[in-house]
Order: sequence, then structure tokens, then C-alpha cells
Amino acid sequence: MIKNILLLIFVLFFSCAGGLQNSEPDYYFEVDIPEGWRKLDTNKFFLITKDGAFLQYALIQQRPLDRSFKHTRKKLKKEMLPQEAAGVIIDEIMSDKNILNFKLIQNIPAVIQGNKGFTIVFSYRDQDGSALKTLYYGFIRDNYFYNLRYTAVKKLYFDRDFETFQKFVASFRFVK
Amino acid sequence: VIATGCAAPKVDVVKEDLLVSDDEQMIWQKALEEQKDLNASGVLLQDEELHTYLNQVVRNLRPDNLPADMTFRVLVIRDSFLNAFAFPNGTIYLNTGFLARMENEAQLAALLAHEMAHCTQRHSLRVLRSIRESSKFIGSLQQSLAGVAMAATATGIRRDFEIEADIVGLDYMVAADYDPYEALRLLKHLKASIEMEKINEPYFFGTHPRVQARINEVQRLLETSYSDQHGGIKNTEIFFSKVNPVLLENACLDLRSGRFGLAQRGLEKYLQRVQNNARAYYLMGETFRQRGRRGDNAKALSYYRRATLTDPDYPEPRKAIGLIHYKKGHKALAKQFFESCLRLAPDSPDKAYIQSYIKECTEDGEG
Repeated sequence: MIKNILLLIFVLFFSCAGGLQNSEPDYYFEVDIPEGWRKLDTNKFFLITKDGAFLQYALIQQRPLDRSFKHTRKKLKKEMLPQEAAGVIIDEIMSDKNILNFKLIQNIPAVIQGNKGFTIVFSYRDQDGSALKTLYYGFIRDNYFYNLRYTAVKKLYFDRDFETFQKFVASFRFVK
Repeated sequence: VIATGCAAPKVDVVKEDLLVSDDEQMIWQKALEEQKDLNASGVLLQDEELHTYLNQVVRNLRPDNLPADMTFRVLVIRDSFLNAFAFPNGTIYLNTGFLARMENEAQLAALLAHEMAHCTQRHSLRVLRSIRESSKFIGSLQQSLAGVAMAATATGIRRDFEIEADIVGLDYMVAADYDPYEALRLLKHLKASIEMEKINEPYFFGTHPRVQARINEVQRLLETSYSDQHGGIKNTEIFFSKVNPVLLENACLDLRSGRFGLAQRGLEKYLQRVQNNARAYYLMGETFRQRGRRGDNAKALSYYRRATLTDPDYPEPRKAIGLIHYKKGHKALAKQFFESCLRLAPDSPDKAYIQSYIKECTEDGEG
């Protein structure tokens, strides 16, 4: 694997538009991009893919806790337990009318780089009828909710890159 | 294309027989395809008794002089938003959110009659033809236009068709001996509900001015055409005996989408008629716990306790009590509730979380 170290500086223009007061990032993090994957340019997420985002992708999001969700009015709070945070995320996903045949496969506690969080695994169909599966790690640290996700077409793609994503998650680290 | 359709001149009532024309056959075919996708999407509520009841109301409303092919069927979507729509072939979809906010069968009849009128007045076909008449670029777009026409009807873009559906729908209600004034009460009640929750509801009511416009129109009709029609069937108790389970289902959806006020009102409405239901008490507790305002934990605990008293074998409220104590640092007490939860549900889906709490409580002792 070619080791790519990325220093991600979140200027968070989108967050500012959503009401965040400070424009300076609270955290920097690094991850190793797996060989053969490429980073797509998006201002909202750190997103990488090997075969194209319609087939499989991994993303990392650093989300201010006070930012509203699109589909549920619930909010994440600093004092929430990982299970409660997972509940909000599941509710957000299930309230999205574009997510069809949602099935929660697993919801368990997890520790991500020393941070207490959760892992959820779920399958669903999108509006085009594609059957997809997602592995989702999430945790709250200070005023942010971090999530590391891997979504892929259920058949052929999800299992193939599962291990690669786990290594990607293991490489995640804060540098501040 | 929709904009063109909206600006199009009014197309007169279709006089030809049902399904004679190619464009109507195409629009019905398109409807079947869309319904197939919708029915397979996992959003439909499975409740045979409720569907039997809803379809009986539709049979009460159906005029005898309709063509044999114009049949109606009602299906319920698990969705807490105020929405209902009809496909041109007579299949009506109704959200749980709508059912949950009604007060009696006459209000249900008002809504269903309105949707039936969209079908009997062949609004989708008329939208399609009005788009064609004002557009020069049709050709291969026929199939897409059929979808646009259905969507335009379902979303109430043509205000003249909405008013026509209200007029015809009131006729159906009166002919079936329902109290037509309930149509007005339904509109007013829903407008208040939308304002209270600051809801920007899609489709059926859309925006406040449009709700008010429809209220005004129905009021005018009642004062003119139906001024002697006070009274009629309401069937409040029958309605709630069939619809009450939907209130619980819909409260879960409101809770999921963080609309705590609506969830609370739905549950209170349910508990007015069904006393001592452990799940309703538990959901009420969840509503307060998840809302998390000052004093909500105490209210939540009170409802969880009522749930456990009503059904001592119900594990969820025990877990929830455990969570409240756990977060307060009352680890020994929390542990008792977590353990009792796992005794009742050893294969609980969140077993891993509960076990981690128990482990931590054991290590920490009383905080």
C-alpha cells in the first residue's frame, strides 16, 4: 500500500452557513488512503472510492453537534451515550424517504481511536433500486460528531472491500 | 413541463368512456408501474383489519353510476406527514400521519371522497391533455408526461382540480349520508396542526394560504349548496376502534423524526381510549426522555414505571429506566434495571450496549 498521509483542514464553509460560529477547525486528522482508491473533491466530506461512488465509497465527516439533520429534528448532544447517538443517526437514516427497505443488521458499541462510539451495519435500497450496504462508525468528541462510513453495492462490492475499509478506519488518527 | 401544465388552459370534462383512449391506457399503465415500485418499497402498513375498514368506507362513498372499471382500493403508507394521493386507476394511498390526526369516519370519508373525485373526474388525463395542447414538443415524451400528469394531480398543482375534487367529494359524502361539515372541521383541524408544529407539509396541504383557500371554498359550498345538510354519519367510535393502532405506529414515526409534540399528542389521543397499554406508556416515556427538556426525565420515569406495572415482562422500559439512572451516576440502581431487562430479553438487539453498561456499573459501583 502506498502510504498517503493527508492533513485535512476543515475550514467548514458549509458549517458556517449552517450556523457554526467559529470558522477555525478544532481538529485535524490523518488517514491512510488505500492503494488504488482516489479522493473525490467534495467540500462536505472526505470521500474516497475505488470503483466510483455509485458502486462503493468510504467517507469521513466531521460534523458540528449543533448542525441540524435533514430528516429528523433530533439533535446530537455532547452528553449522549454512544447508543443514544446511534439512535439519532438511525432515526435520521430511517426518516429519509430516499432510503427504502432499510434493515438494521447490527448496532453495537465500538471504540475508534480511543473514543467511545458505535458501529452500525445496515442494508437498504436507493430510489434507483440498487441494493446497498453500509458499515458506519460514529463517535462524539468535544463539539463534533465524527463518522466513518463505507457504503457499497451489497452484491460483489461490499464484502470485497470490507477489510480494506477496516484498515482505513484503523489508520484514522487525530493530529491535534 | 409541470410549469407549462399549470399555465395550460382548462380542459373540459372527459366525455369518452373510461380507458377507450390510448393516452388514458398509457396513464393507467404508468400508474401500475409506479404502484408496483411503491408497494415493494417496504413503506406500506400491514393491517388487514384497517384496510378492510378503509375499503368499506370507500364502498360507501362510491357512486353507483361509475363505470365498472373505476374501482377503488386504499393502502396506508407508514409516514407521519399529512399526505394522501390517488392514482388515476383508483388506488388511493393514505399516510398514517393523516389517519392519526382525524377525529371520526366522516373526516376520513371527506379525504377519501376528495381523492376518489380526482379519479372520477380523470384529473391526470386532463392534466396530460392540457400539457399536450399547450406544448409543441411532445413526441417521445408521452411516457414521461404521463408520470408528470399523475404527479401534478397528486401534488395538487392544479388548484382548479383541487376545488373540483372538493365539490365532487362533498357530493359523494352527502350521498353516503356522512356529515359534510366534517370536511370543513378536518381542514381547520389540520391547518391548526400545521401551524402549531410549524410544519411545511408536502403535497396535500402544501402551504398555509392554500389550506386557507380550501377552507374558504368548502365553507362557501356548505353555506350555499349544503346549508340544509347539518348532521349525518360521524361514526367516531367505530373509527377509533379501527384506527387506534395507527396512532401508536404513527407516534413512533413522529418520535423518530423528532416531532415530539406530535408524538405526545398522538399517544395522549391513543391513551384516551385504550387505558393501560404498556407500549403507549413506554413510547410516552421515550418522547420525554429523548426530548430532554428540564423536568422531562422525571416525566419519562413516571411513564416507564406505568409501563412496567402494566406489563412486568416488558423489557424496554426497564432498559430506559436503567439509562436514566446510569447517566445520573446511580450505577447500582441502573445495574438492577439493565439486568432485569436482559433477563426478560436475553437476545435483545442492543444486548452488547446493555452488557457494557452492566460491566461498567459493576466496576464502578454506586456513583
